[in-house]
Amino acid sequence: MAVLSDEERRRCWARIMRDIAWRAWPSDLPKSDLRAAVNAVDDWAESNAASYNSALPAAYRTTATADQKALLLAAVLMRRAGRFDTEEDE
Amino acid sequence: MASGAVMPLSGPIPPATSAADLSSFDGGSTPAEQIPVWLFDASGAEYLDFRGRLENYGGGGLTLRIPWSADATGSVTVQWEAAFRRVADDAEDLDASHTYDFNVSSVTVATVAGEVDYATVTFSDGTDMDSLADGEVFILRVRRNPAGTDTMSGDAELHADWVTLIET
Repeated sequence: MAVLSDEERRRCWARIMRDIAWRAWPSDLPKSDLRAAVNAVDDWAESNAASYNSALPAAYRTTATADQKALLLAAVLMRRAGRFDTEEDE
Repeated sequence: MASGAVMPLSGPIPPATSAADLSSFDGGSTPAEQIPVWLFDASGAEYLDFRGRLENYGGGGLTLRIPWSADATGSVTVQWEAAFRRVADDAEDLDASHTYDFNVSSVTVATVAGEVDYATVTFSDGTDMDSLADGEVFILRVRRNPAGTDTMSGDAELHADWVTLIET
């Protein structure tokens, strides 16, 4: 899985502001700083992809695709941030 | 009519596309107030329309007062813009397109998150307000323009029922 292109990062940044921002975000943060954070997270994900992969249990590591491994990480982090609701939460 | 006269407005009316979203949050009193707001996104231009008419207009130009808030403090700014569509008697086909010529107001967020700031957009008499004349009706379009001087990454909260149009 390659690092995001500049346009992909821009779209990610726009989607964050559009769908996540209201009263759950450090709105004091200027847009440019938020964009820099998007870039930094994408760079960090690229730099630490091997380390993350090594941390996965062998069964998942050898079975899942790169996209599936990324989705797993996203799901866990979203849950930690209170943004991944489940039926059991109701 | 004298400066300070308030022109009647109705709405808001979200346009067919790229409209701000209606939401609400709780105030801090007991029982908590329900605060309705229209949310203007930080990444793409979003709009809200009002309908109104000029009554006893004396030619002094107009000032639009836009009460807005945000969950933010500091030096971040929002670019509010507004424009008129004159609906003159037997002259304006509402089925036809109109080019809204926006006036701009770039404002800094209020001192404390949750405080309401009174942004103003001013219009000179004449073409600056689409040549609106006394007694005529109009559409007033408000938008947040996320380009240019707009730096706030969060939603701008417009308190639409407090929007006021005043003769300058």
